[in-house]
Amino acid sequence: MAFGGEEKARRALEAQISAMADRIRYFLRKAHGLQAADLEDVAQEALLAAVEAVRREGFQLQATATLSTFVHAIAKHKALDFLKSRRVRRHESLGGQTGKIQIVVDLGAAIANDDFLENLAKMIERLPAMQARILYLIYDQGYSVADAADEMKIAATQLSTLKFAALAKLRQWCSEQGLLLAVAAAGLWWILWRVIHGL
Amino acid sequence: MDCKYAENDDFIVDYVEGNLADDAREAFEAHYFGCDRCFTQLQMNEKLIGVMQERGDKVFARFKATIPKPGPVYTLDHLENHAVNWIGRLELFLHRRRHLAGLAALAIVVLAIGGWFTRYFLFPADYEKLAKVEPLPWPAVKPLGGEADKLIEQARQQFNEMEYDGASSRLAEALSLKPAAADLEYLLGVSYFLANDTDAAINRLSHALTLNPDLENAHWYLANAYLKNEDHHQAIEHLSYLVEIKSPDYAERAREILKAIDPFYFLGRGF
Repeated sequence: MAFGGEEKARRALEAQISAMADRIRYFLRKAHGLQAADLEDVAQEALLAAVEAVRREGFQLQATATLSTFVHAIAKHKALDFLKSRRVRRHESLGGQTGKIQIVVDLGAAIANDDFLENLAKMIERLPAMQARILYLIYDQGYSVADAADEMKIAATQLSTLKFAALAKLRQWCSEQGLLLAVAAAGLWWILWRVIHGL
Repeated sequence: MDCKYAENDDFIVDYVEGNLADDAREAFEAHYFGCDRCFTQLQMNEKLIGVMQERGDKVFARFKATIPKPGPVYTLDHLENHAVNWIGRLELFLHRRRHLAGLAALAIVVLAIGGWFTRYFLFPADYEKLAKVEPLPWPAVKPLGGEADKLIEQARQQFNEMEYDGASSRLAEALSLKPAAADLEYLLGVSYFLANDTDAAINRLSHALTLNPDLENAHWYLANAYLKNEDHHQAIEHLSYLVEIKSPDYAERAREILKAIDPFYFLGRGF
Protein backbone atom coordinates (compact mmCIF):
# COMPACT_ATOMS: atom_id res chain seq x y z
CA MET A 1 0.00 0.00 0.00
CA ALA A 2 1.37 3.47 -0.88
CA PHE A 3 2.17 5.99 1.85
CA GLY A 4 -0.75 8.17 0.72
CA GLY A 5 -3.01 5.18 0.97
CA GLU A 6 -1.93 4.49 4.57
CA GLU A 7 -2.57 8.07 5.51
CA LYS A 8 -5.98 7.92 3.93
CA ALA A 9 -6.76 4.73 5.76
CA ARG A 10 -5.58 6.26 9.05
CA ARG A 11 -7.79 9.29 8.51
CA ALA A 12 -10.75 7.04 7.80
CA LEU A 13 -9.94 5.14 10.96
CA GLU A 14 -9.79 8.34 13.00
CA ALA A 15 -13.10 9.42 11.52
CA GLN A 16 -14.64 6.14 12.58
CA ILE A 17 -13.31 6.58 16.09
CA SER A 18 -14.66 10.14 16.28
CA ALA A 19 -18.03 8.83 15.16
CA MET A 20 -18.09 6.70 18.32
CA ALA A 21 -18.06 9.78 20.58
CA ASP A 22 -21.78 9.47 21.43
CA ARG A 23 -21.40 5.80 22.29
CA ILE A 24 -18.40 6.48 24.47
CA ARG A 25 -20.36 9.12 26.38
CA TYR A 26 -23.33 6.78 26.71
CA PHE A 27 -21.09 3.95 27.89
CA LEU A 28 -19.34 6.11 30.48
CA ARG A 29 -22.65 7.30 31.87
CA LYS A 30 -24.38 3.93 31.75
CA ALA A 31 -21.60 1.56 32.79
CA HIS A 32 -19.58 3.80 35.10
CA GLY A 33 -22.07 6.40 36.25
CA LEU A 34 -20.08 9.41 35.10
CA GLN A 35 -22.00 12.64 34.83
CA ALA A 36 -21.73 16.03 33.13
CA ALA A 37 -18.24 17.57 33.05
CA ASP A 38 -16.42 14.44 34.26
CA LEU A 39 -18.11 12.42 31.59
CA GLU A 40 -17.09 14.81 28.83
CA ASP A 41 -13.46 14.98 30.06
CA VAL A 42 -13.09 11.22 30.23
CA ALA A 43 -14.79 10.80 26.83
CA GLN A 44 -12.35 13.26 25.25
CA GLU A 45 -9.42 11.47 26.89
CA ALA A 46 -10.63 8.14 25.58
CA LEU A 47 -11.10 9.51 22.06
CA LEU A 48 -7.64 11.09 22.01
CA ALA A 49 -6.03 7.96 23.44
CA ALA A 50 -7.68 5.84 20.77
CA VAL A 51 -6.58 8.14 17.97
CA GLU A 52 -3.02 8.39 19.34
CA ALA A 53 -2.81 4.64 19.68
CA VAL A 54 -3.80 4.26 16.08
CA ARG A 55 -1.17 6.81 14.99
CA ARG A 56 1.58 5.45 17.28
CA GLU A 57 1.13 1.76 16.77
CA GLY A 58 -0.13 1.86 13.26
CA PHE A 59 -3.28 -0.03 14.16
CA GLN A 60 -4.54 -1.85 11.15
CA LEU A 61 -8.26 -1.79 10.68
CA GLN A 62 -9.36 -5.32 10.04
CA ALA A 63 -13.00 -5.08 10.90
CA THR A 64 -15.39 -2.65 12.56
CA ALA A 65 -15.92 -5.19 15.33
CA THR A 66 -12.22 -5.12 16.16
CA LEU A 67 -12.14 -1.33 16.23
CA SER A 68 -15.18 -1.11 18.46
CA THR A 69 -13.66 -3.62 20.89
CA PHE A 70 -10.44 -1.59 20.88
CA VAL A 71 -12.21 1.72 21.57
CA HIS A 72 -14.41 0.12 24.19
CA ALA A 73 -11.38 -1.22 26.03
CA ILE A 74 -9.72 2.20 25.99
CA ALA A 75 -12.89 3.92 27.21
CA LYS A 76 -13.26 1.35 29.99
CA HIS A 77 -9.66 1.82 31.16
CA LYS A 78 -9.98 5.57 31.10
CA ALA A 79 -13.12 5.40 33.16
CA LEU A 80 -11.56 3.06 35.72
CA ASP A 81 -8.46 5.24 35.94
CA PHE A 82 -10.64 8.28 36.50
CA LEU A 83 -12.71 6.60 39.18
CA LYS A 84 -9.61 5.22 40.87
CA SER A 85 -8.02 8.66 40.92
CA ARG A 86 -11.13 10.07 42.49
CA ARG A 87 -11.30 7.11 44.87
CA VAL A 88 -14.80 6.65 43.75
CA ARG A 89 -16.09 3.22 43.27
CA ARG A 90 -18.70 2.56 40.70
CA HIS A 91 -21.43 1.37 43.00
CA GLU A 92 -20.86 4.42 45.17
CA SER A 93 -21.22 6.70 42.19
CA LEU A 94 -24.53 4.99 41.52
CA GLY A 95 -25.60 5.45 45.11
CA GLY A 96 -25.03 1.81 45.99
CA GLN A 97 -28.57 1.04 44.91
CA THR A 98 -29.51 -2.60 44.81
CA GLY A 99 -33.28 -2.53 44.46
CA LYS A 100 -35.11 -0.77 41.70
CA ILE A 101 -32.88 -0.38 38.65
CA GLN A 102 -32.83 3.29 37.86
CA ILE A 103 -31.97 4.06 34.29
CA VAL A 104 -29.35 6.80 34.10
CA VAL A 105 -30.38 8.72 31.05
CA ASP A 106 -30.60 12.30 30.01
CA LEU A 107 -34.34 12.73 29.81
CA GLY A 108 -34.29 16.49 29.50
CA ALA A 109 -35.62 16.67 25.99
CA ALA A 110 -38.03 13.78 26.37
CA ILE A 111 -39.49 14.94 29.67
CA ALA A 112 -39.82 18.50 28.48
CA ASN A 113 -41.76 17.24 25.50
CA ASP A 114 -45.34 16.85 26.66
CA ASP A 115 -46.34 15.53 23.26
CA PHE A 116 -44.00 12.59 23.70
CA LEU A 117 -45.43 11.82 27.13
CA GLU A 118 -48.96 12.10 25.82
CA ASN A 119 -48.20 9.83 22.88
CA LEU A 120 -46.51 7.30 25.14
CA ALA A 121 -49.54 7.35 27.43
CA LYS A 122 -51.76 6.64 24.43
CA MET A 123 -49.48 3.81 23.35
CA ILE A 124 -49.62 2.24 26.78
CA GLU A 125 -53.39 2.56 26.70
CA ARG A 126 -53.43 0.64 23.42
CA LEU A 127 -51.45 -2.23 24.93
CA PRO A 128 -53.29 -5.31 26.20
CA ALA A 129 -54.30 -4.68 29.82
CA MET A 130 -51.96 -7.32 31.19
CA GLN A 131 -48.93 -5.92 29.36
CA ALA A 132 -49.75 -2.38 30.42
CA ARG A 133 -50.09 -3.54 34.01
CA ILE A 134 -46.71 -5.23 33.88
CA LEU A 135 -45.04 -2.03 32.68
CA TYR A 136 -46.90 -0.10 35.36
CA LEU A 137 -45.87 -2.43 38.15
CA ILE A 138 -42.22 -2.69 37.14
CA TYR A 139 -41.39 0.81 35.94
CA ASP A 140 -43.80 3.00 37.87
CA GLN A 141 -44.31 1.04 41.08
CA GLY A 142 -40.77 -0.37 41.19
CA TYR A 143 -41.74 -4.03 41.51
CA SER A 144 -39.12 -6.65 40.77
CA VAL A 145 -40.03 -9.23 38.14
CA ALA A 146 -40.62 -11.83 40.85
CA ASP A 147 -42.83 -9.52 42.92
CA ALA A 148 -44.80 -8.42 39.88
CA ALA A 149 -45.30 -12.06 38.90
CA ASP A 150 -46.61 -12.81 42.39
CA GLU A 151 -48.89 -9.82 42.24
CA MET A 152 -50.31 -10.88 38.88
CA LYS A 153 -50.30 -14.57 39.78
CA ILE A 154 -48.34 -15.64 36.70
CA ALA A 155 -44.91 -17.21 36.23
CA ALA A 156 -41.91 -14.89 36.24
CA THR A 157 -40.82 -16.17 32.84
CA GLN A 158 -44.25 -15.47 31.41
CA LEU A 159 -44.15 -11.99 32.88
CA SER A 160 -40.72 -11.34 31.32
CA THR A 161 -41.99 -12.49 27.93
CA LEU A 162 -44.99 -10.18 28.17
CA LYS A 163 -42.78 -7.30 29.28
CA PHE A 164 -40.46 -7.74 26.30
CA ALA A 165 -43.47 -7.96 23.98
CA ALA A 166 -44.88 -4.73 25.40
CA LEU A 167 -41.59 -2.90 25.02
CA ALA A 168 -41.22 -4.22 21.44
CA LYS A 169 -44.64 -2.76 20.56
CA LEU A 170 -43.72 0.56 22.11
CA ARG A 171 -40.44 0.62 20.20
CA GLN A 172 -42.27 -0.20 16.99
CA TRP A 173 -44.82 2.57 17.52
CA CYS A 174 -42.05 5.00 18.42
CA SER A 175 -40.21 4.09 15.23
CA GLU A 176 -43.35 4.53 13.15
CA GLN A 177 -43.99 7.84 14.80
CA GLY A 178 -40.39 8.88 14.16
CA LEU A 179 -40.73 7.87 10.51
CA LEU A 180 -43.94 9.85 10.15
CA LEU A 181 -42.30 12.86 11.73
CA ALA A 182 -39.35 12.52 9.35
CA VAL A 183 -41.69 12.32 6.34
CA ALA A 184 -43.65 15.30 7.62
CA ALA A 185 -40.46 17.27 8.18
CA ALA A 186 -39.24 16.40 4.68
CA GLY A 187 -42.57 17.49 3.24
CA LEU A 188 -42.40 20.81 5.05
CA TRP A 189 -38.84 21.32 3.94
CA TRP A 190 -39.79 20.57 0.34
CA ILE A 191 -42.68 23.08 0.48
CA LEU A 192 -40.40 25.69 2.04
CA TRP A 193 -37.75 25.08 -0.60
CA ARG A 194 -40.34 25.48 -3.36
CA VAL A 195 -41.60 28.69 -1.81
CA ILE A 196 -38.10 30.12 -1.43
CA HIS A 197 -37.23 29.28 -5.00
CA GLY A 198 -40.43 30.68 -6.40
CA LEU A 199 -42.14 27.36 -7.03
CA MET B 1 -21.53 -5.18 9.92
CA ASP B 2 -23.43 -8.33 10.80
CA CYS B 3 -25.37 -7.92 14.05
CA LYS B 4 -25.63 -11.02 16.19
CA TYR B 5 -28.19 -9.25 18.42
CA ALA B 6 -30.51 -8.32 15.55
CA GLU B 7 -32.99 -11.05 16.40
CA ASN B 8 -32.77 -10.53 20.15
CA ASP B 9 -33.84 -7.06 21.17
CA ASP B 10 -34.81 -8.45 24.57
CA PHE B 11 -31.10 -8.74 25.23
CA ILE B 12 -30.83 -4.97 24.84
CA VAL B 13 -33.65 -4.48 27.36
CA ASP B 14 -31.78 -6.70 29.79
CA TYR B 15 -28.67 -4.59 29.27
CA VAL B 16 -30.58 -1.37 29.93
CA GLU B 17 -32.07 -2.84 33.10
CA GLY B 18 -28.68 -4.17 34.27
CA ASN B 19 -29.72 -7.81 34.14
CA LEU B 20 -26.73 -9.15 32.19
CA ALA B 21 -23.71 -10.98 33.56
CA ASP B 22 -20.40 -9.11 33.36
CA ASP B 23 -19.08 -11.05 30.38
CA ALA B 24 -22.26 -10.65 28.37
CA ARG B 25 -22.49 -6.99 29.33
CA GLU B 26 -18.94 -6.19 28.23
CA ALA B 27 -19.33 -8.12 24.99
CA PHE B 28 -22.46 -6.17 24.15
CA GLU B 29 -20.82 -2.87 25.07
CA ALA B 30 -17.95 -3.60 22.69
CA HIS B 31 -20.53 -4.54 20.08
CA TYR B 32 -22.71 -1.46 20.22
CA PHE B 33 -19.65 0.76 19.88
CA GLY B 34 -19.63 -0.38 16.28
CA CYS B 35 -23.29 -1.25 15.61
CA ASP B 36 -25.60 1.60 14.64
CA ARG B 37 -28.70 -0.52 14.88
CA CYS B 38 -28.05 -1.79 18.40
CA PHE B 39 -27.06 1.67 19.62
CA THR B 40 -30.27 3.10 18.20
CA GLN B 41 -32.33 0.33 19.86
CA LEU B 42 -30.40 0.83 23.06
CA GLN B 43 -31.16 4.53 23.17
CA MET B 44 -34.80 3.95 22.33
CA ASN B 45 -35.21 1.36 25.10
CA GLU B 46 -33.39 3.56 27.56
CA LYS B 47 -35.57 6.51 26.69
CA LEU B 48 -38.81 4.51 26.96
CA ILE B 49 -37.90 2.85 30.22
CA GLY B 50 -36.42 6.02 31.68
CA VAL B 51 -39.52 8.05 30.88
CA MET B 52 -41.78 5.36 32.32
CA GLN B 53 -39.73 5.43 35.51
CA GLU B 54 -39.35 9.18 35.80
CA ARG B 55 -42.74 10.30 34.50
CA GLY B 56 -44.91 7.33 35.39
CA ASP B 57 -47.41 9.72 36.93
CA LYS B 58 -48.19 11.07 33.48
CA VAL B 59 -47.64 8.15 31.10
CA PHE B 60 -49.55 5.69 33.30
CA ALA B 61 -52.29 8.13 34.29
CA ARG B 62 -54.75 6.81 31.72
CA PHE B 63 -53.95 3.22 32.55
CA LYS B 64 -54.32 3.81 36.29
CA ALA B 65 -57.76 5.27 35.67
CA THR B 66 -58.84 1.91 34.26
CA ILE B 67 -57.68 -0.10 37.27
CA PRO B 68 -60.71 -1.11 39.36
CA LYS B 69 -60.58 0.05 42.96
CA PRO B 70 -59.63 -2.80 45.28
CA GLY B 71 -62.28 -4.09 47.61
CA PRO B 72 -61.98 -3.66 51.34
CA VAL B 73 -59.32 -5.75 53.02
CA TYR B 74 -60.76 -7.14 56.19
CA THR B 75 -57.75 -7.27 58.43
CA LEU B 76 -58.22 -6.78 62.16
CA ASP B 77 -56.67 -3.31 61.99
CA HIS B 78 -58.90 -2.41 59.10
CA LEU B 79 -61.99 -3.54 60.93
CA GLU B 80 -60.95 -1.65 64.05
CA ASN B 81 -60.32 1.49 62.03
CA HIS B 82 -63.61 0.96 60.25
CA ALA B 83 -65.47 0.58 63.53
CA VAL B 84 -63.75 3.62 65.05
CA ASN B 85 -64.57 5.54 61.94
CA TRP B 86 -68.25 4.68 62.11
CA ILE B 87 -68.43 5.29 65.82
CA GLY B 88 -66.80 8.66 65.26
CA ARG B 89 -69.29 9.49 62.55
CA LEU B 90 -72.16 8.45 64.79
CA GLU B 91 -70.85 10.61 67.63
CA LEU B 92 -70.50 13.59 65.32
CA PHE B 93 -73.97 13.03 63.95
CA LEU B 94 -75.47 12.77 67.41
CA HIS B 95 -73.68 15.95 68.45
CA ARG B 96 -74.88 17.92 65.47
CA ARG B 97 -78.38 16.48 65.43
CA ARG B 98 -78.88 15.96 69.12
CA HIS B 99 -82.50 17.19 69.07
CA LEU B 100 -83.29 14.97 66.15
CA ALA B 101 -81.44 12.14 67.83
CA GLY B 102 -83.55 12.63 70.97
CA LEU B 103 -86.72 12.37 68.96
CA ALA B 104 -85.38 9.32 67.20
CA ALA B 105 -84.55 7.70 70.52
CA LEU B 106 -88.05 8.51 71.80
CA ALA B 107 -89.57 7.07 68.66
CA ILE B 108 -87.55 3.91 69.15
CA VAL B 109 -88.77 3.61 72.75
CA VAL B 110 -92.38 4.20 71.73
CA LEU B 111 -92.11 1.67 68.93
CA ALA B 112 -90.57 -0.85 71.30
CA ILE B 113 -93.34 -0.38 73.86
CA GLY B 114 -95.97 -0.41 71.14
CA GLY B 115 -94.51 -3.56 69.73
CA TRP B 116 -94.59 -5.17 73.16
CA PHE B 117 -98.28 -4.45 73.64
CA THR B 118 -99.17 -5.09 70.02
CA ARG B 119 -98.48 -8.72 70.62
CA TYR B 120 -101.79 -8.87 72.51
CA PHE B 121 -103.61 -7.79 69.37
CA LEU B 122 -101.59 -9.99 67.11
CA PHE B 123 -101.99 -12.97 69.42
CA PRO B 124 -105.31 -12.47 71.25
CA ALA B 125 -105.84 -14.24 74.52
CA ASP B 126 -107.94 -17.36 74.68
CA TYR B 127 -110.76 -16.06 76.84
CA GLU B 128 -112.47 -19.42 76.97
CA LYS B 129 -109.38 -20.83 78.58
CA LEU B 130 -108.98 -17.88 80.90
CA ALA B 131 -112.62 -18.10 81.98
CA LYS B 132 -112.44 -21.78 82.70
CA VAL B 133 -112.95 -22.02 86.43
CA GLU B 134 -112.61 -25.12 88.47
CA PRO B 135 -115.54 -25.72 90.86
CA LEU B 136 -114.86 -24.66 94.38
CA PRO B 137 -115.42 -26.92 97.34
CA TRP B 138 -118.87 -26.43 98.72
CA PRO B 139 -118.64 -23.71 101.32
CA ALA B 140 -120.08 -23.80 104.76
CA VAL B 141 -123.58 -22.31 104.67
CA LYS B 142 -125.22 -20.73 107.68
CA PRO B 143 -128.21 -22.91 108.70
CA LEU B 144 -131.51 -21.37 107.68
CA GLY B 145 -133.71 -23.84 109.47
CA GLY B 146 -136.53 -26.06 108.34
CA GLU B 147 -137.08 -27.28 104.78
CA ALA B 148 -134.47 -24.94 103.36
CA ASP B 149 -131.62 -26.74 105.09
CA LYS B 150 -132.77 -30.08 103.68
CA LEU B 151 -132.85 -28.62 100.19
CA ILE B 152 -129.41 -27.09 100.67
CA GLU B 153 -128.01 -30.44 101.80
CA GLN B 154 -129.45 -32.15 98.72
CA ALA B 155 -127.99 -29.37 96.58
CA ARG B 156 -124.57 -29.91 98.17
CA GLN B 157 -124.63 -33.61 97.38
CA GLN B 158 -125.59 -33.00 93.78
CA PHE B 159 -123.04 -30.20 93.47
CA ASN B 160 -120.26 -32.47 94.68
CA GLU B 161 -121.43 -35.09 92.21
CA MET B 162 -121.20 -32.43 89.48
CA GLU B 163 -124.98 -32.56 88.90
CA TYR B 164 -125.14 -28.79 88.63
CA ASP B 165 -128.63 -28.67 87.08
CA GLY B 166 -130.10 -30.61 90.02
CA ALA B 167 -128.15 -28.50 92.50
CA SER B 168 -129.51 -25.38 90.82
CA SER B 169 -133.07 -26.61 91.19
CA ARG B 170 -132.65 -27.44 94.88
CA LEU B 171 -131.01 -24.09 95.59
CA ALA B 172 -133.74 -22.22 93.70
CA GLU B 173 -136.36 -24.00 95.83
CA ALA B 174 -134.47 -23.12 99.00
CA LEU B 175 -134.29 -19.49 97.90
CA SER B 176 -138.04 -19.44 97.39
CA LEU B 177 -138.29 -20.36 101.05
CA LYS B 178 -135.62 -18.00 102.29
CA PRO B 179 -135.29 -15.09 99.84
CA ALA B 180 -132.58 -12.46 100.16
CA ALA B 181 -130.01 -14.97 101.35
CA ALA B 182 -126.72 -13.87 99.77
CA ASP B 183 -124.99 -17.22 100.31
CA LEU B 184 -127.76 -19.09 98.50
CA GLU B 185 -127.82 -16.61 95.65
CA TYR B 186 -124.06 -17.04 95.27
CA LEU B 187 -124.24 -20.87 95.29
CA LEU B 188 -127.09 -20.81 92.81
CA GLY B 189 -125.11 -18.48 90.52
CA VAL B 190 -122.08 -20.76 90.69
CA SER B 191 -124.25 -23.78 89.92
CA TYR B 192 -125.70 -22.05 86.90
CA PHE B 193 -122.22 -21.03 85.81
CA LEU B 194 -120.90 -24.58 86.07
CA ALA B 195 -123.99 -25.78 84.22
CA ASN B 196 -123.01 -23.33 81.43
CA ASP B 197 -126.12 -21.18 81.94
CA THR B 198 -124.14 -17.97 82.03
CA ASP B 199 -127.08 -15.57 81.74
CA ALA B 200 -128.78 -17.11 84.80
CA ALA B 201 -125.41 -17.20 86.57
CA ILE B 202 -124.88 -13.48 85.93
CA ASN B 203 -128.36 -12.73 87.19
CA ARG B 204 -127.94 -14.68 90.46
CA LEU B 205 -124.37 -13.62 91.16
CA SER B 206 -125.28 -9.96 90.59
CA HIS B 207 -128.13 -10.39 93.01
CA ALA B 208 -125.83 -11.99 95.57
CA LEU B 209 -123.44 -9.02 95.30
CA THR B 210 -126.34 -6.66 95.76
CA LEU B 211 -127.05 -8.42 99.03
CA ASN B 212 -123.37 -8.66 100.01
CA PRO B 213 -120.88 -6.69 97.87
CA ASP B 214 -117.90 -8.18 99.73
CA LEU B 215 -118.36 -11.70 98.40
CA GLU B 216 -115.02 -12.14 96.61
CA ASN B 217 -116.02 -15.52 95.18
CA ALA B 218 -119.14 -13.95 93.67
CA HIS B 219 -117.04 -11.25 91.98
CA TRP B 220 -114.74 -13.89 90.58
CA TYR B 221 -117.46 -16.10 89.14
CA LEU B 222 -119.40 -13.15 87.85
CA ALA B 223 -116.33 -11.79 86.04
CA ASN B 224 -115.78 -15.16 84.42
CA ALA B 225 -119.45 -15.40 83.44
CA TYR B 226 -119.13 -12.05 81.70
CA LEU B 227 -115.98 -13.26 79.96
CA LYS B 228 -117.87 -16.26 78.64
CA ASN B 229 -120.46 -13.89 77.29
CA GLU B 230 -117.64 -11.74 75.86
CA ASP B 231 -118.81 -8.77 77.90
CA HIS B 232 -115.30 -7.55 78.71
CA HIS B 233 -116.37 -4.23 80.09
CA GLN B 234 -118.39 -5.84 82.90
CA ALA B 235 -115.72 -8.49 83.46
CA ILE B 236 -113.05 -5.82 83.88
CA GLU B 237 -115.14 -4.08 86.55
CA HIS B 238 -115.24 -7.17 88.81
CA LEU B 239 -111.68 -8.28 88.07
CA SER B 240 -110.44 -4.77 88.93
CA TYR B 241 -112.24 -4.99 92.22
CA LEU B 242 -110.41 -8.21 93.06
CA VAL B 243 -107.07 -6.63 92.15
CA GLU B 244 -107.82 -3.47 94.11
CA ILE B 245 -108.72 -5.30 97.29
CA LYS B 246 -105.70 -7.58 96.72
CA SER B 247 -107.82 -10.66 97.09
CA PRO B 248 -105.50 -13.42 98.32
CA ASP B 249 -107.27 -16.04 96.17
CA TYR B 250 -108.04 -14.10 93.00
CA ALA B 251 -105.92 -10.93 92.66
CA GLU B 252 -103.05 -12.51 90.71
CA ARG B 253 -105.30 -14.44 88.35
CA ALA B 254 -107.48 -11.39 87.86
CA ARG B 255 -104.39 -9.34 86.96
CA GLU B 256 -103.36 -11.83 84.27
CA ILE B 257 -106.82 -11.80 82.75
CA LEU B 258 -106.96 -8.02 82.80
CA LYS B 259 -103.57 -7.81 80.98
CA ALA B 260 -104.81 -10.25 78.41
CA ILE B 261 -108.03 -8.30 77.85
CA ASP B 262 -106.49 -4.81 77.79
CA PRO B 263 -102.68 -4.41 77.58
CA PHE B 264 -102.93 -0.72 78.45
CA TYR B 265 -105.17 -1.32 81.45
CA PHE B 266 -102.43 -0.86 84.03
CA LEU B 267 -100.88 2.25 82.42
CA GLY B 268 -101.36 5.18 84.78
CA ARG B 269 -102.89 3.02 87.46
CA GLY B 270 -101.35 2.64 90.81
CA PHE B 271 -101.55 -1.10 90.94
